[in-house]
Amino acid sequence: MGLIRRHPALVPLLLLLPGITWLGSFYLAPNLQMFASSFWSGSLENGFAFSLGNWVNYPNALGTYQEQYLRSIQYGFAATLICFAIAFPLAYFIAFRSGRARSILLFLVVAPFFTSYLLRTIGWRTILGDESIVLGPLKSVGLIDPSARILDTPVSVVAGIAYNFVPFMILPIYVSLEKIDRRLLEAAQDLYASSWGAFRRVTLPLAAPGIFAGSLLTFIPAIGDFVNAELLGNPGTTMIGNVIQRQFLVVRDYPTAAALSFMLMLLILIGVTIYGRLLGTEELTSKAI
Amino acid sequence: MERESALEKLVDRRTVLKAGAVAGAAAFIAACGTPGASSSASPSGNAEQSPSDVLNFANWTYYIDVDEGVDTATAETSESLRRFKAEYGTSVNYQEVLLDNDEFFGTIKAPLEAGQDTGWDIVVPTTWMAKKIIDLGWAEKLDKSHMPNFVANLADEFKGRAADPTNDYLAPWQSLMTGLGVNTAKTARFTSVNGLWASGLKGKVVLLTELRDTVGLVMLGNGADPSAPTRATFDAAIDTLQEAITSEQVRKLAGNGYTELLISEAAFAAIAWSGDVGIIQADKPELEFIVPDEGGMYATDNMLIPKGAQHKYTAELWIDFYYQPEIAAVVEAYVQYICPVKGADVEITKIDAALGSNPLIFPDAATKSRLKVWGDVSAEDQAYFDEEFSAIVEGVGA
Repeated sequence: MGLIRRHPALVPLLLLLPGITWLGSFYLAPNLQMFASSFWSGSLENGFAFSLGNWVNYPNALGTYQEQYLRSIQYGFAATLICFAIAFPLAYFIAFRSGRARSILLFLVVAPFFTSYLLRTIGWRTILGDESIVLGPLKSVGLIDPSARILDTPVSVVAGIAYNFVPFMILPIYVSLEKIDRRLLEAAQDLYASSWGAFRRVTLPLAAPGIFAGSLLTFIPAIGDFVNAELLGNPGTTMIGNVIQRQFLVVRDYPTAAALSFMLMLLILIGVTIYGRLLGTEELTSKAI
Repeated sequence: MERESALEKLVDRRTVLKAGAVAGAAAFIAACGTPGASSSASPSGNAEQSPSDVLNFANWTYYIDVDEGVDTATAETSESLRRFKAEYGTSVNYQEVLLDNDEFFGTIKAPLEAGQDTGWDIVVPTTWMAKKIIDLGWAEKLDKSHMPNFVANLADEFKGRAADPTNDYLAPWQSLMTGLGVNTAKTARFTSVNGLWASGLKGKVVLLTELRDTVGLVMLGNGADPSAPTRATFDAAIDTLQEAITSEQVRKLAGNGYTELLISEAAFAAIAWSGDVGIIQADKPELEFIVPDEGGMYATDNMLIPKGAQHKYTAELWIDFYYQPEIAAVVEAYVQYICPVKGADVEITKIDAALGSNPLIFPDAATKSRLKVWGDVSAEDQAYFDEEFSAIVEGVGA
């Protein structure tokens, strides 16, 4: 105690200590280890050796798996857009129109999290099955070809990702909408703004931090996801997450897997930076976080 | 399509298979993490000569008997595990975490390499993987002095195998045939591997992600011999596979979860394991297991004690316990794979008279002669095979 009283500057450091220790041991150290292993060559049986000359692991891995990177970006992007289309009207309704049902609706948004991610994803196999409630009736009235299917196609993978991540879009948008001072909207209308005008000039800009945060919270995990592609996809829908998982656990080509992981991180970092620049200022980013 | 009531489905023990993908995926996730084994404080090694309280047993899904209406086997819900507990007081921590040989090996490799206990006392790798573990020096030698049943009842075909010539490391658990699983109500019955590529089955075929099973069967279809694979015959099979995937003839490549596609009729035909089809047949008699005209694949999963296991002695007791024909019969009546224990075919008739002559559990000599075991190749060739097959699974070649 005496130490703190004599050196008050230590307080923030001490408060940060648990967090720093956590980050250091479970984020920084494994990442450094993984970065080092991306410069390995060799095999599990004969051992791995580190050499800076193994930087070729990076272009080699990129050359082989560029299609999977591209596909991950596409799927992540599509899923984020779908999430936004679902989340914004819903969050708007909950924030402005739900009245006393608000807490129940918010609970319902989070409720699926009480079930395992895997079970929910597998549930989609039943929903989208070839003779399911979705396709069955359409097939029986002859609207679509009897051999048509959704399951094990890109559509089911993107749908699965969007479904699994939509709460991460809803909640931040809801929070930013809910915070809006209603008097600003009244003022806008007093100044002869139409409802649409008030929405476009007041609500939407004030919701931007939530949209920004929501789209990042959706896009970043979506791009690295492998569960949806594994359970709802086929070999033609392999995402980079599936490749990394397989390279680590099945093929055990650790250098390639590590290089792929780092390139994915870099890709996300660059993407997010550009996105932040495009959508707004640093103030916006800090608000979002 | 025939529909049973929901209640009926609930009470039928074989509906556990309907949760196939669930269990499969759960095991898959478990396999991604560290083994969920519980440990006890007892010291490692051969000094331990009394049964321990727990035994950590890692096995594949649907690979031991479970009680009616129960999904997962535990020391309380499996007849064989219960009898073991009654005899030795050991509560088996039975975990269905094996979904893929390579993937599981990835989870135990780090502790073995570091000379540490993996958390498992018994694991059940397929012979080729078991050989790799033995060659790396990561298997405990069985002390056969307390394994009289194993010595007496191990079927002759498993004695002196190349992977374990002196039977010092491996105790076969089950053998399985890989062949065709065909839903004969949805598609015309066929007996050639190449029937999988018929136009009527477009988008309705599921293949296994196991190289030796899928490539082996496709090789047989191509007229090649998977017991002596070469780069040329392998490449030809990969080409066949690639074409079938690109043309969307093949709907999916799956691990143990392939059963879910057959049950839900997302697939009408599969490269399948005999025991799985045997179990699904109880609910779906139209599903048939066919050893193709060109031949089928044959593989054995073996109990192995990983180096440094905490309860080696108890693991040996379990292996020996299983090698009693009446216990093997209890397991077999449920799992319906091929049994390595002499005398189990007689014992099993006491449980169900029909099972003793079930060709999926006790295939006749003529069938056995048509089964091939994937051949040993040089490490370079195997690495090449693994890489090529991985590209297929990852969709890189498309």
